[in-house]
Amino acid sequence: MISFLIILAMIFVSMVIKNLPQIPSSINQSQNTPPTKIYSTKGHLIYTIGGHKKVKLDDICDNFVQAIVATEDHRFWKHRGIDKISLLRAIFTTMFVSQKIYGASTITQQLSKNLFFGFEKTFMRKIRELLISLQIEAQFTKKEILEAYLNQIYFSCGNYGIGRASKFFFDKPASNLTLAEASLLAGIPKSPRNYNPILYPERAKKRQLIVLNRMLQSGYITKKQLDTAYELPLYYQTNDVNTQSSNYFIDSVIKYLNEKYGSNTIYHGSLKVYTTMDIHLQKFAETCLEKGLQKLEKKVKPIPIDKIAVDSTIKLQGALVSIDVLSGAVRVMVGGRNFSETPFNRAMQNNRQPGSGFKPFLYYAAFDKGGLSPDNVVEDKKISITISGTNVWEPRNFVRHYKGRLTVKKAFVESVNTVAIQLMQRVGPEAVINTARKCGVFSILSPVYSVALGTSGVSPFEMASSFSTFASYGVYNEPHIIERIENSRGEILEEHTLISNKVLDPSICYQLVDMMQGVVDVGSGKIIRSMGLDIEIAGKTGTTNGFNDAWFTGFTPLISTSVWVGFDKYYGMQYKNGRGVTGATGAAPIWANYMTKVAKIYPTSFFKVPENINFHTVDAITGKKARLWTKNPIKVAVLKNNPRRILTGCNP
Amino acid sequence: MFKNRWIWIIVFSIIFTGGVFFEWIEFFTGQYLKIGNYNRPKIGLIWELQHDKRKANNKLNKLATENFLIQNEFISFEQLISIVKSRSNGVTISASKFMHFFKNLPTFISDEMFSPYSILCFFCEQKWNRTHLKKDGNKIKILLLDSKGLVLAETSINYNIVFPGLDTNHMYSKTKFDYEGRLENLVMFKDSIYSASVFFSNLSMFSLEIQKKIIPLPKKLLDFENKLVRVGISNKNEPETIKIGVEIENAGNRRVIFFKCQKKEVNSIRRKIKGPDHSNLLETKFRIIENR
Repeated sequence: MISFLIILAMIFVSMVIKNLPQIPSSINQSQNTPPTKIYSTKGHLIYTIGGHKKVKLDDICDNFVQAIVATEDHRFWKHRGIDKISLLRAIFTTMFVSQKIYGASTITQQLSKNLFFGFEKTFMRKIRELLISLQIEAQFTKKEILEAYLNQIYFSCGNYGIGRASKFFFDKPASNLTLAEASLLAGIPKSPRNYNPILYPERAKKRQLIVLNRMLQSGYITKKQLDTAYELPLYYQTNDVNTQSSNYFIDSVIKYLNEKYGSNTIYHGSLKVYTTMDIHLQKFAETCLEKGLQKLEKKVKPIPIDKIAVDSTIKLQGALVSIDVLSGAVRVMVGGRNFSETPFNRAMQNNRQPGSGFKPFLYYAAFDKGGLSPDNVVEDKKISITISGTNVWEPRNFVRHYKGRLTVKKAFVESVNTVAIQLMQRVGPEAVINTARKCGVFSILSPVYSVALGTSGVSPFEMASSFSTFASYGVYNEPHIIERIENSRGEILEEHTLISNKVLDPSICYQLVDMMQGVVDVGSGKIIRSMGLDIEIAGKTGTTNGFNDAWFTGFTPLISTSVWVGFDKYYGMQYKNGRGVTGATGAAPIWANYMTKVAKIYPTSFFKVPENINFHTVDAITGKKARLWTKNPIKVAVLKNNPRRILTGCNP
Repeated sequence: MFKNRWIWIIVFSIIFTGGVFFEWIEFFTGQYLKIGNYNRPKIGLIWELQHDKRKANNKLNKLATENFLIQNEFISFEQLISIVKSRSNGVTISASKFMHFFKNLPTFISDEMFSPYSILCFFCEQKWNRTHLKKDGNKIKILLLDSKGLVLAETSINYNIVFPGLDTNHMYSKTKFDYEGRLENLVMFKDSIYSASVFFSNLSMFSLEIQKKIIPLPKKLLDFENKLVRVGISNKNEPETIKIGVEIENAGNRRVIFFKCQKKEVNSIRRKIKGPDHSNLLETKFRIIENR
């Protein structure tokens, strides 16, 4: 019988041994991997992914080594992989003390588990883990084992190994940790999530006391040292590059890398990714958006939809995108107020109606296909459009009254909807959509008249990109967020090729730029001038029905920026006095604040006037040449030899 | 039996106690496992990590190698197209590298892409800097770009273009020069010598049919790319044909290749070059883009 049992045991052991994993000749061999590094356009490191830098045991302070040994396995230096006394105590406690499980894993066993087995909890796994621990003890010295262990334990916040953890939490190398710091860090690996000192400082502090007591029991420190270390206040630094990151931008970069290379390659490939981000502008844009929204939030309340009570927790949201006009490089992308609260990127993924912000595409099509000029006269009047044979649509102006005859430029500057619809009737939705497409609007656009009033959703990214096409006088530069990617040897894996496609007529673009300058100088965006921004700028406000969305998209000759403000749940935005929030009052102030900083960084430049453009000063109402006594003179940019016409009763 | 049982219990107790206090079981088990270590499978997280790392590095090295091959012309146009198909953001090569592919392609394929006359024009003007190839739905888009990235001309070719196994590599490579020297040394070209860029930019404004009558074998000139210096039109009065001489700078020397061309068509380009309505080159490019 006993012989049979012995044979059975031997068969069992040989089977277990057969399936044991091979242990590499160096237990630390996989631990030296540089991370994938993401840089800003000027070469600042802005994010790291994966990677690991091994710290030698000699470079780790004694405080920490003692703390971890005292806490995790105080007989580490004596046993051969298994702490039999602890094991017997654990078996006894587990069997005879109800509802209490006592752990007995030595440092070697933990290393064995972490390197080979993961978190599967089975009897067989435990046996194999024990056997591997014995082999590790036979194959490596205690110092090697401890070094490997200290370099791979997890300390929360994505930090593996003591080197990374001490840098992350205390911004110092592991050799310089004080007793207080070392004891705090040594307490984390038991439950990194629960003892994260940044999220749960009190829990971490309690755990620190346990560690210090274990050190006292093991004779590493005195009671006095314990008390001093425990009472010492700890300051956690937050200068780590990943906690400082501008997450919406980085998230877009990571998504691109994931799609292109796969997560495994990003994590292990030690790539160098050079993005287009201007880190200073990005930080400033984040601050501007947050401050602007906070200011607005104090004055604004959400308008309920269909009288259903408003979600009281909802916060006003916003997005900001800045694109370099000459290259299409995305310099700034803020997709919301807080990435960790709502990672939804409103800058890229949002699909919100741009309102009048869409009108530049209509006016371009009207100039290009409809032969219109800014000095032509149109009529702001009540119009009715029959839809599907029965329904009648009567588009209204924001100001709820009609101004009669006025020049095209004045109609644009004052964002007159009835004129926009008449122009739409003249050129047709396809021409408008075609213009938007050429400029880089890729969202679904409905081929209906109301598309002229911005009823099809677009993203701030698309708005900034498409307006930059006007700013560059019709040259479309594909927007991009990555300049170059290199492998660890510095070989270029991909590089953005600047492709500038001339998609629009430069002179017509200039006419539009001139009208958009009018918007900022005297039109719906004049708040920007009143805020003191006196550089050369052009832009267009956008407000949607029910005050759901407030936009301002504008540009200098060098940079194009779009700002969107609104609620995620499509609530309208209303001031406490009952007035609605518009592009001019909601988004334009944020835009102006941000562009004030941009003006300091990007050199001031002027919109160059093309050769075949003439400037006329005309009566804003009649379009006739302005005289000394003309009340409302307006300067318009017209093409040379352009016939002047008066448009009345436009028909499709 | 009872006695035996006690013996066994005592033996096991000694073994156990010995194990507990003297740790020889752990020691020998560890040593035993160490002996058979390298016969066991490479499984577990540490190996997976190494495998992942190796896989990632292989993938990146492959990309880097591809880039090296692309930039150093060690691949065929067919291989280049297959690489373009596999990359979402396309491939950029220098103008001369594209030219290398272009002139070695069978005419029926290269003519479908770009007119060789336009290519000659871009080269003479020295504006064509690089070429970008990218996936565009079921096609491959080819963009000829200047140094600032402005699109000079673009075309699309079928995604599944079939390249016949023709070796056209040396079709025009051994072009014979007709004259060693400069154009002005030849009396027939006196007062009718134009810069190559002016000549070819004017030529690109004509229809393909006329272009062929003026320079019948354009690929013959592509070998010299931007070394084409000047073009002379003969003043010699012949009944049907007229001679055109293209001056080429070759290893510091000037040489001339002659073409026998249709008189009527050559006269029309001569008029165009000399005429008052000489259009600027920019218009030419836009026309080329629109024609595509």
